[in-house]
Formats: sequence, structure tokens, C-alpha cells
Amino acid sequence: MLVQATLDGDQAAFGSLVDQYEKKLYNAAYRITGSREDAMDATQAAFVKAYEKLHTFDFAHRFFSWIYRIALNEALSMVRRRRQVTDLDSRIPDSTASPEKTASGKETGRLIQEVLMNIKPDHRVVVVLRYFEGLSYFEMGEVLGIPTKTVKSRLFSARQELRTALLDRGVSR
Amino acid sequence: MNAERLDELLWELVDGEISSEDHTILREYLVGRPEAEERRREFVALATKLGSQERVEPPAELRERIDAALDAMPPPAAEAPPVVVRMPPPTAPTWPMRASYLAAGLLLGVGLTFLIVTGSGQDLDQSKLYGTVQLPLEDAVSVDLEADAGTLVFDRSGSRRTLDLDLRWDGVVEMRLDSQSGVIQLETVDHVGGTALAASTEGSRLILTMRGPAGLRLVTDVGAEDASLLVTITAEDEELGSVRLFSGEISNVQ
Repeated sequence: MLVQATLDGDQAAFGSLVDQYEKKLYNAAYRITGSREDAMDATQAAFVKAYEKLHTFDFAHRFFSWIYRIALNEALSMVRRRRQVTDLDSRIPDSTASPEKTASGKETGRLIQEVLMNIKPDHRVVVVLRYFEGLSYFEMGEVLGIPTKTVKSRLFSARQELRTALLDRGVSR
Repeated sequence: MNAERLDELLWELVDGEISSEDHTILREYLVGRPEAEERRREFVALATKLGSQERVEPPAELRERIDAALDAMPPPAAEAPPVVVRMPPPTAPTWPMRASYLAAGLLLGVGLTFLIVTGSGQDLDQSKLYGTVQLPLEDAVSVDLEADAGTLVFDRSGSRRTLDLDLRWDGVVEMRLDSQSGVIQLETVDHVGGTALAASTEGSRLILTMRGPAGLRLVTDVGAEDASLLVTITAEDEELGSVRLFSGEISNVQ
């Protein structure tokens, strides 16, 4: 296992873990922070923290849950810090920097990200994990350290909030 | 079926997480209810819209930054080998020792009475109640937990094992004890501060979940004088999830 190999002194093994999770963590962090720069900082901080605390990793759990949880907490910390100093609207990625620019339906993509940035951070996290990262309810529970039942109810409220906000902006079907 | 329950089931269906039982109920409900079917289509459309958003490619600079940060750090601490706490076999106390135990017991009794009478409550000095008075004193072994989370003191008398935990961790901790003799019986569990959330035995395993910080005394009987005990303590950390604070074996030196 790569974690054990790293602890046994094989630093390249941790590089393989970075290869495996860098893109996923960056994407999740981007959707939560709404900023490429913050997503980079959160992803880097997550890997550094995981490396530093690797000896405390509990092998009874899965590494993917552990590293996701660290990254989500880093991203949420950045959102909290930013919220104190920045007007929320400026966190919405502008269309010139957004990947949706080149995709069809780019306006919908921009609106979805805009709406995401305006729902509660807890709700944003479950939407990102389910629909952007494709995690099951059980996996989400593992990552967030909450029971599956709580995942379902949080996701339910999040989707209601998201759906209403999208309808308000004229995005329905 | 009310509107909220319908929405719950529809979302579970759209997410592919619905149970076969609920699926049957929902399928039957949807028959002849075009408005519910329309709602299902709406949910599918939203889920598809969300799920079809493009992934953002991380810039190459990110990997460079991660590698540079890791290169500047020392290698992660190798996993600490399980702590093996070995204790000499118990010896029958001599009369002078018994006298000293009696004196220690009296002193402890006076100390406890003083604390109770003064009603110091939260100001109780936990170190006086836990982890300091161990009989016989020379057999008690103390180890520090990971992450500066506290101290664990082991003691035993015959088949009885006493664990005194001075826990500084602010949060939920699970202590798991596995007796190698195949037998474990919880005799007492007392705590000062914190909350003992649950204690249960299952065959030769005992699991205690508690919330710290706290002082805890746990007395168990492992059924045999020379039986060793495997102890694992894990904590739930908000950022790191499950963190191992201690993993060790307590066995007698023959």
C-alpha cells in the first residue's frame, strides 16, 4: 500500500498518491472556493498536511476519505477567510477564466457555479461531492464523518436550495 | 405519500441509491400521476446538468508547488511500532509492603474525602484521582499518547487489568481492548469530566467510546494472570478524521 510504503521511507510512493488525487481534490476545492488560486492553495495545503500527519492515519479507514476530508476542510477554511474580506460576487469565476467558456452551455455552467457560491457551504460541499465528484451517499458519509442518513437529509436541503436558486435565475430544465 | 417523501424517493431514484423496496413503491405511485412523473424528469435534468459540468484541469504549477513543499519537509515519521509494555509477574506483597499499601490507601481515602467535602467539582485535580496511586507502585507503567493527547497508565493484579487514562483530547475517543486469553470482562468504568458515551464487551473485545478531555479509570478482568492485552486508542479529529493515539500490547514478563 502506498501509505505504508511512504511511511517505510519510499517518498516516491507519496508522489503516486499525489498523482492519483491531485485532480480530484483540485476540482472539489475549485467548486467550493470558486477560485483557481484558492483551489491551488487548498490542494497544496491538503497534501502537505497529509504528508506531515501520515503516521496518524488510521488504516481501518480508506485513504481517499482521509485526504478528501483534509482538502474539504482546507477549502472551507479559505471560504471563511475570504468571506470576511471579499464581496461574494467577486468570488464567482468570470467567464473569461472559467472552463465553461469553451463548453457548450457555458452560460449555464457559469450560473451553476454562481448559484453554488451562494448556497450554504455545508450544502455546497455535499452537492460537489455527489454531482461533481460522483461519490455515493456512503462514501460521502465516510469523507464527512457523518451517518448516511445525515448525508441524505443535508443533500435534500441542498438540492432544494440549489433548485430554487436556479429557477430564480431562469435555469429550469 | 406526501410531497416531501415523494421528493426524497425521487432523488434516491435519480442518484441510483433507492432500495428495491422503495423502488417498487415509487414505481407503483408514479403510474397514473403525470405531475409526479414530470417532477422525476425535472430532477433527472438537474442532476444531469450538475453532473455534466466540465472538470477543471489543475495548472502544472500546482504539482511543482506540491513537490517543492514536500521536498522541503522531513520524511513523515515512520509508523511507530506497537508499544509493548512488559511488566514483571506479580509478587505476593510482604508484610511491610502491605503496611505501606494500607497507609497509601488511608491517605487516598483522606484525599478523596477532602475533595468530596470541599465539593470542588470541576476543580478536581484529576492527577490525584487517576494515575498516581497505583498498587503495587513499581508495576505501573505509564506511556504518552500521540499528538500530546494525554497519558495512559497500566497496572495489573492477577487477572485484573487497570487502565488510567488522563486524556487531554477535546473530542470523541474510542478505546479498544483485546484480551489474548479470549476472555474480557468489564468490572468498572469511572470518569471525571468528559462523557462515557458507551462501553460494551463482545467476546474477548471491549470497546469504550468517550468524549474528552477527561480522567478515566477502567478495570477489566482478562481471565488469566498471564494474559496479554492489546490496546488501541483512536480519536476523531475534525480535519484529519480518525487518528490513532496509541497502539500497544501489555504482557507480563515471565
